[in-house]
Amino acid sequence: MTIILGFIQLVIILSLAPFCIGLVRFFKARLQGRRGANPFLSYFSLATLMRKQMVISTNTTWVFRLVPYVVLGSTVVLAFILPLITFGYSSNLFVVAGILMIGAIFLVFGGIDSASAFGGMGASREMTISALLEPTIIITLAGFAVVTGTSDIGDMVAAQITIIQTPHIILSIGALIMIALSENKRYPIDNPSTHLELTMIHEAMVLEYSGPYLAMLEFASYIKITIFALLLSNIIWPSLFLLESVDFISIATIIILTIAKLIISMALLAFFESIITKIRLYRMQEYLTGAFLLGLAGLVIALITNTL
Amino acid sequence: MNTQMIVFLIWFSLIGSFSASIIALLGRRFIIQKISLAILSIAALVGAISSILFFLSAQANIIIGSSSILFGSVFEIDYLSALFFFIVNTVICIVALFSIGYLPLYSKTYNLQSVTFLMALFIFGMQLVLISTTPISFLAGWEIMSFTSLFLVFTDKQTESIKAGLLYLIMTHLGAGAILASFSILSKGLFFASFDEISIISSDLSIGLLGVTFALAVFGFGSKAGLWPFHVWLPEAHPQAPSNISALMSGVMLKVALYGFLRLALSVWPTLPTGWTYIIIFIGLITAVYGVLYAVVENDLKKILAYSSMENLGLLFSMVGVALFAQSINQPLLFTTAITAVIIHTFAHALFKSGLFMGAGVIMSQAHSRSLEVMGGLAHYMPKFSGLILFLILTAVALPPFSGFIGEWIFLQEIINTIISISQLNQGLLITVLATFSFVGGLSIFAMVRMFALIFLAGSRSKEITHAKEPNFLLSLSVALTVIASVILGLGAPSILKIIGLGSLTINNGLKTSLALTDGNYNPLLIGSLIIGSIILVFSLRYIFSKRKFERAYHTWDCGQPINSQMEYTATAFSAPIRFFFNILFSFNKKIIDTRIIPNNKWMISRHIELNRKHIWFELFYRPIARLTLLLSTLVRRIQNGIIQFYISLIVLALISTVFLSI
Repeated sequence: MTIILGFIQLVIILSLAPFCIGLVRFFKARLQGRRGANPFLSYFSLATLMRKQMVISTNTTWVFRLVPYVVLGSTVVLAFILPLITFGYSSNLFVVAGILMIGAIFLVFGGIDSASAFGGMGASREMTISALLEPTIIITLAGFAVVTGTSDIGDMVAAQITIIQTPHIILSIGALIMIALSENKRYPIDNPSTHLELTMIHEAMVLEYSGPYLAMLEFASYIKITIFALLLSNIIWPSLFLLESVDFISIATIIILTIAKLIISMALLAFFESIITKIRLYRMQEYLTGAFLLGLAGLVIALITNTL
Repeated sequence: MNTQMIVFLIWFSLIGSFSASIIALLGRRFIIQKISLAILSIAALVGAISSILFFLSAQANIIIGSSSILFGSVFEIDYLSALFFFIVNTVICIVALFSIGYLPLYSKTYNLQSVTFLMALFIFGMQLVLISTTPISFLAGWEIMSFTSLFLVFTDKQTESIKAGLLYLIMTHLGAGAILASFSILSKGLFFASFDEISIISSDLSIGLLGVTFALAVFGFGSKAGLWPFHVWLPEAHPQAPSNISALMSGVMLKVALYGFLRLALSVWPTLPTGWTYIIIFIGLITAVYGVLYAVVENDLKKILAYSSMENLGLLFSMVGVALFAQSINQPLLFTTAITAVIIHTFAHALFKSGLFMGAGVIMSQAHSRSLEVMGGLAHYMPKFSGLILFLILTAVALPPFSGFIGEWIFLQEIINTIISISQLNQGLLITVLATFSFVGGLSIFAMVRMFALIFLAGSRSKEITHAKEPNFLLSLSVALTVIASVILGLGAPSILKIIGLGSLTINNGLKTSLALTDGNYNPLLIGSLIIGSIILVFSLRYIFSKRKFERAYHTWDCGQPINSQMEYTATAFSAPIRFFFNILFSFNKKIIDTRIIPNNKWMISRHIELNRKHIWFELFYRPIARLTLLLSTLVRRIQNGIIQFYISLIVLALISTVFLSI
């Protein structure tokens, strides 16, 4: 049963992911006073990329070809095990952090393997941020684990702990939002629509990829942002209708609800990105330290509340 | 019957490794060294099998050798020593196999006969340490191990090696002296008493004396294991030895030091006061942070691996510290789990680190350098070998389906489970441990990924790389064996825990066994198959939705200019953000040096960057000690004025004062 639910979740997430990124671009354009492209455009750009011819650099090794599969594959695992539409399946917090890291590592390999300074620079930055973000992820999720009494992210959501019951959880949620922004390379860490190599992180690494491989890497980043958006909304409103049985009506409602969650969170993200600026790379440690301290404060307060 | 079999096999293993050293002395021809190494490998294999048999026989301990002259049993195998005996022998078996293929490549640099002789003796010493039950045989094995490894550091007779070797000599002997002192206080001079007896003898020691033995043991075993602040020799000495010896030193010898400390902590000392366990934890954590930071910024391949060993040993010692801490605050579950984590991580580290050092040997034999700056693109020329190293790297960085993850997972998961139910000061400690472990974990990923990517990926930065070839069968086989063993350990950890009698940490749900702690479980097979499954899914979907071979080759885009390997990102540049963020700890000096191309034209200059990688700890702590020692010896030299009457009067004075003291 859980496996069937997992597959349903996977299919829904995979089919909604391009829409999700289309939404944030659309909202952002509106906030900037532009008309913006159709939110469904990402489906067409992925389809176009899949049909294009690939250019593979002669400097690359076999690892270059492995990268898109592993990056997309590891993201698919996350879409399968995390509590996004159902309650998820064996999603221990350390395992989730580890699988996130596998994707990051292979992306870095792809960046370096392109043998250009752009790829190397992006890879170096990505690796720095992922490495320094690791303690924040663990500490923040440990905070949730202490509050809910379980280390499984699925059970954390199932524990139905809301901000109203345990207001101190808001610190951990804040840290989780900061993690989500930097994991997805959004503002203020990275500018996702930049064309200037000095400010790029994610785009610099995928610069040498083209055609189907680029489509896979882009798709992986779309899935990742969808995952984080849904995970955050499920943690903030845990009791809000997760799929528990397989019948047409509940699946239909869950799809509508998921789309609603995505629209709200993407609108908020677009709004947030419109009012802040990207920070300089060499001030990144301030952001990362801030996120860590927020997560740590969440954990400490959770522990103190627990002993009271 | 079974007991006799185990005793026989262990004797076979010991005599095998000792006779291997004798055989190596018989002649200079390489065939003799080959036989010696083969015997060594078989002896180690037998040793590993004997410890498996020991676990299957489910006995508490088996006496291997006893003698009435030496007052009781001298050699004995029990649970802890069997675990380490297995880990150590497995790695030795693979490394000895590797040496058969590796040493002939360096027949001009090293004296193969002495390398083989010393290596066999080194291994014999380590085996002896593990099955000793009395301080005297323990120390005998320890000294054999230290001395042979010292000469192995010297083998290429370069100035750097001799310098590193001398540093090692000083540290290892101060350490051995401290261990000797610690044992003699604990046993009250009875060096032939077994550890169990010492535990009874020392039970009436005052807390102050116990503290002295604790401090001495931390220094003694810590200096061997490369713990901060006694680590200075490790990143110098490990890289200077031949690569197969580095594999043994990092993969095995450090584990023997850990074993020694565990032996004292678990079977000799009473439960330690909580404050003392804090010391072990913090020394371990500082070592881990220090090691990993230097592993990130270092450019020398073998030094990166040595620093990474420091990091892992730091993590292991803080796990031991947490176990003892749990014992002192009476948390038996955390104690068991932490010790389990120590054992699993010891095994995982022994395998991947020896594999990586052997890999480094192969890489250096092709690239003729240790610097990451001249490598790159090796995966073009040795694709299969690079695949093996990729596996080892993924194991080393503690990611889910691999073996490096298991120990850390067990440990951190149990910390999260325990943290709720203890007092607030101790909660603070455990939060520190949790945060530092994940910080170190993140940076170790940085270090390992950087190492792999700059060696194997992109274009090659030197001419030597373009002549690189896949290594011969024996070399690939031994590296592959470490990969296979790591994968088995990673995926089969729950079953392995059952065999070694720690089945209480596993849960049997249906067909699959997963690791389970109070709340949280992890099934490596499930996660592994999910990852592999989804990669296959992605693979097949990609071929359904797009054409198979619709691609062309072209050089990398570089703003329309031609591109060469000089334009790639370098190793130094790759770690620049970390160097920048943590410069307060490194305090490296970066200098930009201008040289004029035409002497009288100040506008046309070529610039290069010089990065002074000084070690702040060495400058602040060891240099003053060295200066003080020099100063004292200059003062003492005044006495040595060459007048014989003066010397004789000194002797008389010394005698008289001794008489007074003894009265």
